Amino acid sequence: MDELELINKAKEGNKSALNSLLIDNINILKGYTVKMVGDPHLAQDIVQEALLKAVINISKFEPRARFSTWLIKIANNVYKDYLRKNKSFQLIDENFIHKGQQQVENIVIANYEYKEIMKIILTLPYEKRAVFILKHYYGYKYEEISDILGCPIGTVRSRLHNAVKHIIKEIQRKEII
Amino acid sequence: MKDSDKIKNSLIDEYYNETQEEINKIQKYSDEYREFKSKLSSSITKMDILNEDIFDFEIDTLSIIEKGEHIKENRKSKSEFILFILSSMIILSLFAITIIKLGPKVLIISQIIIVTIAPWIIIPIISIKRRRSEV
Repeated sequence: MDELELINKAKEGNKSALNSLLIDNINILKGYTVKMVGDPHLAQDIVQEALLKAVINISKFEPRARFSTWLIKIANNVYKDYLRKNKSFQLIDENFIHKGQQQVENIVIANYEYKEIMKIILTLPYEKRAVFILKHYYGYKYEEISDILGCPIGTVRSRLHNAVKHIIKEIQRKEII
Repeated sequence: MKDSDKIKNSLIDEYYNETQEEINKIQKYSDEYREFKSKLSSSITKMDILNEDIFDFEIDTLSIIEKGEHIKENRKSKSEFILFILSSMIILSLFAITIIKLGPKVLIISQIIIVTIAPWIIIPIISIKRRRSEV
């Protein structure tokens, strides 16, 4: 059964179709969220919250874009809400980066490169991080990213340019290459 | 924007197949271009290490669906309850206004009319609904 058919059935209230739809798209959502937050426990909470919101609002979904795009959009909003609820966006984001780094250190202590690369990703500001992850790991087009993040295509482009330049600089500084 | 920045941006776009501005031949063979291109490809290749999703966790989609359905039901029953309270308040206040204006006789007449007509409306509606739910 193709995605559109599953979406239509899910909108009609077919739980099995909805479950298949979620299972088909869960890996991309999990991967994106883990890379975005750098903390598997927080990522799990965000994924669960995003899926719950998707289930509640499935009737509002218009299949103009991919279902995974919609899920990522929801997960982004959930993460933004999380950052907003924790008082200052910038301050908590910085604290969170630190927390994320500690988590990464605990879990992948054996994998130095993985840890260092994740640290570099986490040092990017939220918006640039989201653009880079969507473009680099999931191959989204600039138009799709601008739709997910709700910003102009020019902004997406410049955020990607800045993110990539920052990554190159950090990789060289840490002498990973 | 500096020329070197333009070249770098164009190279990044090219790498991700989003080319907008063609890089001219003079720039293409410049040392700066080549150096950045090699840095870009080696750095970006390093980033691919995160493709191995080593942070895996279980998500029970079925329980999320159940929870979502439960929340939807709760919301629906809440809105139905509010609608019921509002409509009954409107009907009762209309009754009260009519009785005040036209006297208590209206209440008795309206009661008789309601009791006579209501079964003729309610019973067919319920049977139609039941038939639809069976289908």
